[in-house]
Order: sequence, then structure tokens, then C-alpha cells
Amino acid sequence: MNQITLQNLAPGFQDPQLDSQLVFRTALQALARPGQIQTLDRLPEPPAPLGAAAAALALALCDLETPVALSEDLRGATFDYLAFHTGAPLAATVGAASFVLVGNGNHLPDLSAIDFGDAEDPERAATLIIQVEHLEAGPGQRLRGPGISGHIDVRVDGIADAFWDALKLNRKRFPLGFDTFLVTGRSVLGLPRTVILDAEEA
Amino acid sequence: MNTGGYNFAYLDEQTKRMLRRTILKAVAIPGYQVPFGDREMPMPHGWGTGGIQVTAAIIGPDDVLKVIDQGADDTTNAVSIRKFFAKTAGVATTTRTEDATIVQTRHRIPEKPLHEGQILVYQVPIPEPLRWLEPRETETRKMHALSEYGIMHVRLYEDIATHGRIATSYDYPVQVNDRYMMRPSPIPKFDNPKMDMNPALQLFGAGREKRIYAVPPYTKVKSLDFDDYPFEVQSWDQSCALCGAGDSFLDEIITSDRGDRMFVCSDSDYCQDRQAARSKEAAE
Repeated sequence: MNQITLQNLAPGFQDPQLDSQLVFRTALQALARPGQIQTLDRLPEPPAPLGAAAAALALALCDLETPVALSEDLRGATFDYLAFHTGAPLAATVGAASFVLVGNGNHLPDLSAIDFGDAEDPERAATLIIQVEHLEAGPGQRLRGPGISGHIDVRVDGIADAFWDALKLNRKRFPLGFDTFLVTGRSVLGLPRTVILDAEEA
Repeated sequence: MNTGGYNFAYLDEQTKRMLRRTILKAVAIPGYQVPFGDREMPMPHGWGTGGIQVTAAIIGPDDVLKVIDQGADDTTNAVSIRKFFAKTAGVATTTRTEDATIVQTRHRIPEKPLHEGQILVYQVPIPEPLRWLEPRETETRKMHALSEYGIMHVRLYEDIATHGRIATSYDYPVQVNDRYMMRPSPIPKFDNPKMDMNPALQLFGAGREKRIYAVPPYTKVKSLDFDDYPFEVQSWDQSCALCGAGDSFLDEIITSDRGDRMFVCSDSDYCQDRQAARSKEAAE
């Protein structure tokens, strides 16, 4: 186990109990209404390059029961921060992680190596938290599926095209498959495994 | 905030995180029963411990909670659960469906339509729709994995062969998003159509059986049936004796030992609203 450097350790939630609850509810709303961008009210102050929104989700949802995998740019300060505030262990491989944090959506880990769950335990599948540059309602990707009345359009900047291909594959695997939160600034976009991508541009 | 010396909403933070992760996975896999670590609650199983744990995991200080038992806000189970959260979470409570952000329910869906942003939490005794047909959990898990639901159709067919119709009138099995078969908890089948494409989020908690499942908003929920025996809901010759509603689920109440009876709305909030509107009309 790595030694955590306590110098320069950034603060977590102001009020761990109530902030976690509010962040969870925002995450729940994001996953229940895919494509609707939600806003986080309570944010911690994590060390860069970990953003406040990704940190908020990790602090609200991770603990010693959830191995976390971090993209290369997040190793070091981010791991110390998460280990101190949540107690979450670092996953040995991406495939062993319950949560996969990606610092920059343009540099994705191998999305085929993630745990998709199995037919009798689809809930075991990992949750991805990916930092992107920009989220905006409007023409870009057209989404359908549970939680969406008809369809919804959302524009995402700063994520590799490979992500959308992986999301299409993900849908074919249902009920297996990863669930995703895209985050930037205070914004969260939920993309559960049920999301169907419309091929045609909106 | 004064929560009577308890942690906010009774459960410890670690437990709430576990429940929250379970709820998120349940929403991502509509209709699938996600196992969770059931905690001992200060009331026995059978009193809604599953629903209470779900509510405890999601509720915040700004929520407004409504609790109903068989549609009524004033029954023992509903009153005690409402008081439990007023004490341990300090939240506001209400009996009005439209004012609530969270509605915890035993055995009914409110008559008034729910709106976006609301969460309906069901108390579930037996979550597994196939349980009375196949007692082994190992087998029912496989049946869900393979989407192998033939035995339920055989059961419904046997109903038709014996009774001339599908006799199941409550806890009527549904299929969610064309995939998982789900037990809607013992709501009357009258309420089944309300689950389909509902704008509210529906969460189900079974404490003793340690399962949580969900139906996201705007999700297809289909009651099982056959082309020649389509699903249909109960109807009554009477309307409510108190408010005159002809479109609500009615309870039969025996009023004497000579067999006198009356039919009244099971949803007390809906009935009181209609009675108030009627007396206002009469006064004008």
C-alpha cells in the first residue's frame, strides 16, 4: 500500500453527510433521465487534474468496498485524495474496478477491458466517470431509451469518438454493460447502459 | 439539524452509500432485482423495511415525504413511517400527492398522476415474480438471465383454462422495457397501467428478501397477457360513497352485521380533495 502524502491534501465535502446525499440525488436524476444535464450544488476542492464534479461523485459513491481504477493522468495526487477521503482501494486492473475515473475523455482506457457484469449478476458492471471539456443541450448525439420521453439531443465536446462506438456495443450487450457519468465544471450527464444512440446526426 | 441523536435518516453513511450504489445499478437495469445488504431496522420485516431503507438512502433535508398504506395516509404503517422520518431526518411530511417529492407506498399507486422529479418508493414483500412457480433462487436467476419466462405464461393460461379468465387481481406480473419480468408488489392490477411511461422514478425495496429494483421515468411497463385474453383492470358498478368518484380504486367497507356495505376510495388524499371540491361547489 502506498503511503499517502498528507501535505497539501485538499479538502473533501464541507458537510460529508448532507453533501453526499445531494450529490447522490443529482447522480440518480442524471441516470434516471439520460441526456438531461444536471447541476451539482455541493462541490469539494480536489487537486488538479481531478475536477470538482468527478470528485463529488467519487466522494459520494466510493468507499472501501469499491476498487477504483484511475487513468494515467490521475495517478498520484488524485489517488491520495480519494484514498484519504473515501478509503477506496486502487484496483489492480481496469477489469477489477467498480469505478473507473478518466481524467480526459480524449484519452480513454481500453473500454473493452472493463467489467460488464455477467448474465446472472449484471449489477457487478463498472461505472465510468469521464471528464470532458463541455456539455450542452442541443444537436450532437441523439439519445433514446428508458428515462427519455421520445428522444433528447446533447452535445459533448472533449471525448474520443471511440466512446460512442463503445456505447453502441454496450447497448448490444444489455443487460450487461457499463454505466457512464460524463462530467465537466458543475455538470453531470448520465448515460446508463440502456441508452440507445441514434446513428443519424440530429 | 436536530435528528433526535440519530445519524441523518437513521442509517450510517457506509450503509447509505451501499444502498445508493445499489439504487443506481437498479435504475440502469430496469426491472432487474439488485441484491443489497439488508440492515436491521427498528421495526420487523413485513413493516416496509425495504421501502424504508430505500427512502433513508435517497431522502434529504429539503424533501417532502408522503407515506401511504393501501392508499391511505392515516393507517398505522403510514403514520409510523412518516413519524420515523420526521424524527430521524427532520423532513417535512404531507398527505397531498402533488406536494410530495418522495411518496413511499404499500400496495397502491396514488390516483393523482405523478409528475417529473417525484420518486415513488414501493414496499415489497416478495420481489421475485417466479418465486411461487420455482422456489430455487439459483434457478430463477438463470431464468432471468436467459429471459426464460414461459412458466409464467403457462400459469396465466392455466388461470384461463380453470376460470375462463386471468384470475390474478393484484401483484400482477409485468415486463419492463421488453426485458425483465417484474413483480409490481401487491398493488391491485387496477394500478398496473399507471406504471407504464410514468414521468416519476419508481423504486422498489424488499428488505427481508434483500432486493432493490427500479423503473426509470418514461419506461415501458407491460402487463402480461394473451392476444385473445388482453389485460384488463377491475371496474365497479358503484362509485365512491363519499366523493362520488367513478374512476378510482374502491374499498368495500362492511357497515353493519346485516350485510350493509359501502364502497369508498382507497386513496384518502384523492377522496378528501374531491369531497372538499364538492362542498365548495355546494356552498357557492
